[in-house]
Amino acid sequence: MSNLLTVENLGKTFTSRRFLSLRRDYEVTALRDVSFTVAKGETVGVVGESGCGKSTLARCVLDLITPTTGAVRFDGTDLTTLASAEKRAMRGRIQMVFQDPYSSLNSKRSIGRTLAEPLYVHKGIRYRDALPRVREVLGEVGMPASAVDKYPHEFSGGQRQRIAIARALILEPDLIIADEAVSALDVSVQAQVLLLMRRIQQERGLSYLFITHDLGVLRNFCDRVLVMYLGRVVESGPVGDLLERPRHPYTRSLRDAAPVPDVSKRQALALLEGEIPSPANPPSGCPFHPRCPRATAICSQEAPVLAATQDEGRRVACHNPE
Amino acid sequence: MTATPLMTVEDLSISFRIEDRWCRAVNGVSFDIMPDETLCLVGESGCGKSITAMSLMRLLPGSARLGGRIGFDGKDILTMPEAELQTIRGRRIAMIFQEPMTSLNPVLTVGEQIAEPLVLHKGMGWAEAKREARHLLDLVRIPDADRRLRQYPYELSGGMRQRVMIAIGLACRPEILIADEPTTALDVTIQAQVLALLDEIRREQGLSIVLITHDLGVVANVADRVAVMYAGDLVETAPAGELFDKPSHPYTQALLRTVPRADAAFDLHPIEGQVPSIQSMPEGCRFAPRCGEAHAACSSPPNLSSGPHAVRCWARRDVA
Ligand SMILES: Nc1ncnc2c1ncn2[C@@H]1O[C@H](COP(=O)(O)OP(=O)(O)OP(=O)(O)O)[C@@H](O)[C@H]1O
Ligand SMILES: Nc1ncnc2c1ncn2[C@@H]1O[C@H](COP(=O)(O)OP(=O)(O)O)[C@@H](O)[C@H]1O
Ligand code: SF4
Ligand code: SF4
Ligand SMILES: [Mg+2]
Ligand SMILES: [Mg+2]
Repeated sequence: MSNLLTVENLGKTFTSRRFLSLRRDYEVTALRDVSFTVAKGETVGVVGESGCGKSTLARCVLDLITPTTGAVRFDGTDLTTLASAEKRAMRGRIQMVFQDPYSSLNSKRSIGRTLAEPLYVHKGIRYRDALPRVREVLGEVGMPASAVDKYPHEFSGGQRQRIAIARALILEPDLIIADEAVSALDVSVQAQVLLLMRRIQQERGLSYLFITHDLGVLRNFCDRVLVMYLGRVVESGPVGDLLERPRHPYTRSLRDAAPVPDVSKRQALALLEGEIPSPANPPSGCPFHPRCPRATAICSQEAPVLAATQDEGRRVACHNPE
Repeated sequence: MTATPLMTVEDLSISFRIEDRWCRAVNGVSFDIMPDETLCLVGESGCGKSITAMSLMRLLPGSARLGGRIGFDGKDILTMPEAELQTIRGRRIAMIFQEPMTSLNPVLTVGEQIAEPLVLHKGMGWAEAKREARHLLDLVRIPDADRRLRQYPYELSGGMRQRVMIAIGLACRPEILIADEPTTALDVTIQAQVLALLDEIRREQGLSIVLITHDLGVVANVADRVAVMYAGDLVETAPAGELFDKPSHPYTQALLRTVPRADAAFDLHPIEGQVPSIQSMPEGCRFAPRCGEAHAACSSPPNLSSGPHAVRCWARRDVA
């Protein structure tokens, strides 16, 4: 299977100046040595606690920020070295859907204008000529064509998310990056939107990079998953296998903390002590060692590298994997 | 076990005036809150969970009209004078919310915010209140309490802020703690910590918790009893084990099917359509437009059956 997206050794360090302070500038390494691929038609999930670098990863792939190290290859071309005109053409092929359908749609612009805008920016198509395509894409996401003349506040959260998906679809992208795209929705609406995204994928053969903190959504929507901790990928593999037999202690902790709607499985949710450390001041060695139940002496000294395991498609970064 | 309820909600209705019309957001809801229990209110957004919870302390905007009775300590919360309510609100019944950042005061230190209700409601001096605040931070398992007391909300993580909110809620040793989506904004790992904390405190302090959530996974893990709300109706109530083993109302069943589970791969089954707005509630059973079992009888509103597992549905007259 050919890879649509190849991310190699991606790193991103943010440097902040401290004004009026004698202390030196401080650095936050939000991403460190992240490598993975997304095949055509595949859905790759990204999970991890808040602040672990998921959105930074998305922004690097979208070329909204420049990575400090590494390369992002899309359909064979290295995005980090392209000239800006070529970049713009490439960018139309990667689209984004955000968590908050309230702030990601312009409240003063009609739905029709919002959807037509990418067609103008990327292809110079004027509003009136864009309308048939706008109506078509609205139909694709299950919205009536009459939505064209309405404004975001006239729609529910689920409908706004459909509109955001329509906007992402209008340029017929090959890859959609969804950053917590269904997290703000009620379960029933969430299921509607996920089924819609899956149907579109089947019809179009597009790929998703799907960021979520919900392991239930992950399990039921994604093919493969990257588990991130403090800017690194600590485990990756096929989603069902990985959640059933986690090898990294952090993956197990995440899974065991996810409540399932079943009273017979009720037990004290396994507690992971403490919180994710600040990336401005990461622990030595394995970044997970202060919270890890399996940590041994080496863990605070040496950072484990992400390495293949005997299991098909599984990689883990741990000195003492399960 | 037949304990006496701590609070009895009878036929509670809440209406809002919208465009010169009274619209019923909550439609005759009845339930009890028992001592030491966790009661969960569940349902999709807009079903009336939050306003039901607010009404337990009569904390609704002036545009709302309340009906029914909320019995607490032999009195009716809905009709008692405001002055008397002040002796209950924040003291005997306390509330915590989803967004600790917006409900904490950004310009006061953690210590000041916890001490304030103690000074206001309990008449403590500031020095004593500060000591008690330190004790409360220990209670909610915040390490390094002395330093944290001097910090401002922005210096804390989301999980820490929610612990501070819980500490403020517990400051006056309430009998009932109402928690509206207290973990919705948190990571699963931190959510598990906060839920465990609430449960420990409930057992240690003999507290009743009303937990509002739309997450059925959370409910299955912490609830003693569950009340399912749909479009302002209480449609099913049962002990937690019973509700998850034998969900009975078509809405409860549908809601359970929509939950994507981390422990199994299932097909996703959305409930088609959406919760009606309070301005356009269907006549008859409010769930009928989305119900696969709707039939002729459903054009008039069903009432709630009696007993510990109660259901509001014409097709479920036989549930005990
Ligand atoms: N522009 C920036 N300047 C400095 N630090 C930043 C910047 N953007 C992100 N960071 C830091 O990088 C880390 C990763 O942030 P990121 O937004 O990618 O996390 P995330 O995994 O998406 O979290 P969430 O689940 O909360 O959305 C965080 O510590 C964040 O504070
Ligand atoms: N101040 C208000 N004025 C008018 N309608 C309101 C007001 N507060 C809540 N509502 C309506 O009451 C219904 C129930 O709201 P709420 O209790 O917040 O739902 P939930 O907490 O279950 O999501 C919703 O339809 C909401 O729009
Ligand atoms: S390397 Fe050590 S500390 Fe890190 S996850 Fe593995 S066992 Fe735990
Ligand atoms: S009363 Fe009728 S419409 Fe309402 S839930 Fe029961 S079967 Fe469905
Ligand atoms: Mg993010
Ligand atoms: Mg609410």
